[in-house]
Amino acid sequence: MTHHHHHGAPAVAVDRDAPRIALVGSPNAGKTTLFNGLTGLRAKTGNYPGVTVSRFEGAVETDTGIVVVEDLPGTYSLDPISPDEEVVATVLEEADTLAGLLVVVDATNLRRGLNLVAQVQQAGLPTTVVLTFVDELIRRGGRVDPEALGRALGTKVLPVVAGERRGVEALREVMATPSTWPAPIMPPPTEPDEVVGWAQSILKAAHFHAPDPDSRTGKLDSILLHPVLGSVIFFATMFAFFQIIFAVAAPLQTLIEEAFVALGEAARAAIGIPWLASFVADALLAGVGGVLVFLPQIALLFVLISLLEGSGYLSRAAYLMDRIMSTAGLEGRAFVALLSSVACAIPGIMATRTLPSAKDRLATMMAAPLMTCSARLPVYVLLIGLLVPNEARVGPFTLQGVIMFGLYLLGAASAMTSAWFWKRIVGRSGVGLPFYMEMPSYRLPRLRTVLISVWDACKAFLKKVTSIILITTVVLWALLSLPIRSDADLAAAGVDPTDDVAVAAYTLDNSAAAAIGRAVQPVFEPLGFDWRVNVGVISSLAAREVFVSTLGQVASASDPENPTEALANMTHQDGKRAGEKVFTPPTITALLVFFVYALQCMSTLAVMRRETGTWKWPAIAFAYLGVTAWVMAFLARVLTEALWA
Amino acid sequence: MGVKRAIHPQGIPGEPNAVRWVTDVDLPVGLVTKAPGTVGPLLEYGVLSKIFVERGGVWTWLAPEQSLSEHGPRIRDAVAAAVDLDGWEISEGSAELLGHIAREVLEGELASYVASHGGHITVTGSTASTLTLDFGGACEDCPAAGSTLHDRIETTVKARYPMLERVERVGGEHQGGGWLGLPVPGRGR
Repeated sequence: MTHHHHHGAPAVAVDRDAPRIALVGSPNAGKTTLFNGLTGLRAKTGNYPGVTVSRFEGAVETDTGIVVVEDLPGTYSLDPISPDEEVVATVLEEADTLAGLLVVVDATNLRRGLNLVAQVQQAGLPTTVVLTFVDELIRRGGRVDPEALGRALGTKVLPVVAGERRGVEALREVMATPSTWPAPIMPPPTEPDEVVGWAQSILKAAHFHAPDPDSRTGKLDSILLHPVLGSVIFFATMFAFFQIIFAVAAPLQTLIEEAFVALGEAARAAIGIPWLASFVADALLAGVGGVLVFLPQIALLFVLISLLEGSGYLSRAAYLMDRIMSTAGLEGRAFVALLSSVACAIPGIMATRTLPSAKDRLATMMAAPLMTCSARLPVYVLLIGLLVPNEARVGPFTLQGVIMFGLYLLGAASAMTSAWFWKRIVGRSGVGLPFYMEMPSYRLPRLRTVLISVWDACKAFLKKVTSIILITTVVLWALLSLPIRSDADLAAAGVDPTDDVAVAAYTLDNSAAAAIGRAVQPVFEPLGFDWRVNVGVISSLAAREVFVSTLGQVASASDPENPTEALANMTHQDGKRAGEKVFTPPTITALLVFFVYALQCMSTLAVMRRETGTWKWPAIAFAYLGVTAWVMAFLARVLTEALWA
Repeated sequence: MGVKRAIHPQGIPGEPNAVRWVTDVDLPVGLVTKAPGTVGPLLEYGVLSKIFVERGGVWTWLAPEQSLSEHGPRIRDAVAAAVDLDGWEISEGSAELLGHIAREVLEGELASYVASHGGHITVTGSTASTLTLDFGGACEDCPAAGSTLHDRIETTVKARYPMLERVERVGGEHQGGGWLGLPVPGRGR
């Protein structure tokens, strides 16, 4: 469930003429690890069980030149039940574009893996079997002879142990010449009961002994999958995580923030042209830099996610949640999609392709944007920082971390409620198909996989910061700085043109953005927002992080040397609250709650459009989440005011 | 019967028309002259030109003008059904079958084992009960060649062809030799 940022389109600009080899395999068979091992950092795919959604490609250098590897979604069979399996089936039908297939089979689940091999071999393409987890099979008292397996299947069988380069290198060598791969003399049977007999005979010929149940995994599972104890541990893990975000990342964040402030001052001092100085200091350094400071939090989030995932715990979490999901009328697969949305709603929405029922798909898609995605993290950190001081504690825990945890919980609970609601509205789906998800054995997370996942998330974040966030920030800077005032204008307004601070304040206050912010004031007034917050909220429709960059610009314009304090001391300039502070606890709470619900993400809307094939559903999602956000924020404000008084 | 019989086909290097159907068989080992079920007609009408039974499998040869893609599934079903039927007529023991099995063992199951001994072993002849091998390469000088390798091959082939009585070596003065070329009692000539 790692951050997907190459949506649908090929991940890398790979050679169109190079031979293509596709990776086929069940979820958890080690396909993604293998793909990473083959392609290095040149491509990436998500690897949450069951959620290797879109198609990913990477280039592999072999003796005969570049070979393009395509990583297909994890699938147990080629009978298309879900849209995901359909992708695999379709690719195999269009087999003429492929030079060969690599079937990745988990040796500890060889019997089931052979079913997939039997189906894949019907495609008539050169096929090689990659056998993974042979080390685990042996550790658990099982046995297999890869050579005998290869003779029985009529194909090459290559054992590859994760973390050992040898197997990957052997595979790289083999991939150079798919046209010379041995082929079975005839395809395996297709009738299910004949396939059973075929697989049994192959297993015997390969001297296969099934592994004993993993005692380590069994012991851990008896605790971690316990209905009560397991759930407690799950929530405790999550809770600890949000404590870590504040305890570990916050000091780092302060450092980066101070660096940007220093840079901003240096820029202001060095650049002679006032508007350019303002552009560099306010727009680029205060605005974009203001978002960049959250890089440590993003990195930490993905360290944790990939640790949980790599250890096999995430599948357990999905299993635990399956029970809760069923109360919302949804199956566990939907939870997998929702869980993916903690990274980003986009892979979450794409993960709904694993859902066989169109109705469940829609309901899950409508709920996915409510899960707290990584884009909300900077907004939450900023606002929580304004709400409660660093040192505030609840017992041994930081209050900031507790609030953050609460926001994630609120997001998750709201997503469930929403899914339940939409499932009702869209209508009942037929009998639910049994949710089949494999519990992989507990494994030590691979450092390489963790690093790639974190690096990838950081790269995606930086890309977002330098594209959509940068553009929006520049536009906002223009709106906040225009129209430019002449000295005569200033004098007429009673502002001393030599007083920079007064000029900045006057310009900001009479800018085009201010006009827009004031125009929507009636809408947000009940929530306690002022025009500056309004501009932030409107601009965050492009991407949530822009809210942070907008406030950064505003604060930096008012007090370049201490933007954080400027923000905390910002007061309402007009309206019935004139003179009062803007960021009071009721307003901050309302803002936080607003961000829990509002769908402020153009990319999410675009993906919804693509996945549903119509603008109707993104429009509905945008509207219902907007209205909910306003109502919930209002309620939160009223409630906080009542408690505060 | 319910569940289908455990069976899978295996190709034979150098014998493009041959298929070794790996499955549990409780029949005499040798050349099939008459087969029950639908295997009979396949043989009679010339789809199959030859059938052998070994311990643990059935070998079929497609007639030259036939293709496996056309007949493969039918032959598989026929073999799977017939091995449980009565009515087989098999002439027990076959020099040809023993040669095929020995080659298949040496190029398949024991290939990497033989290679790890630095050798290259070929079948030079067979009768219905004896097998003659040429222990090429490093095996010629390897003192262990006489025992370890010899035993391993004999055991493996015999598991599939029980009538095997003797494995002989051609050429070389180490024939049947044991440690340092000393004769091993009870083996060889």
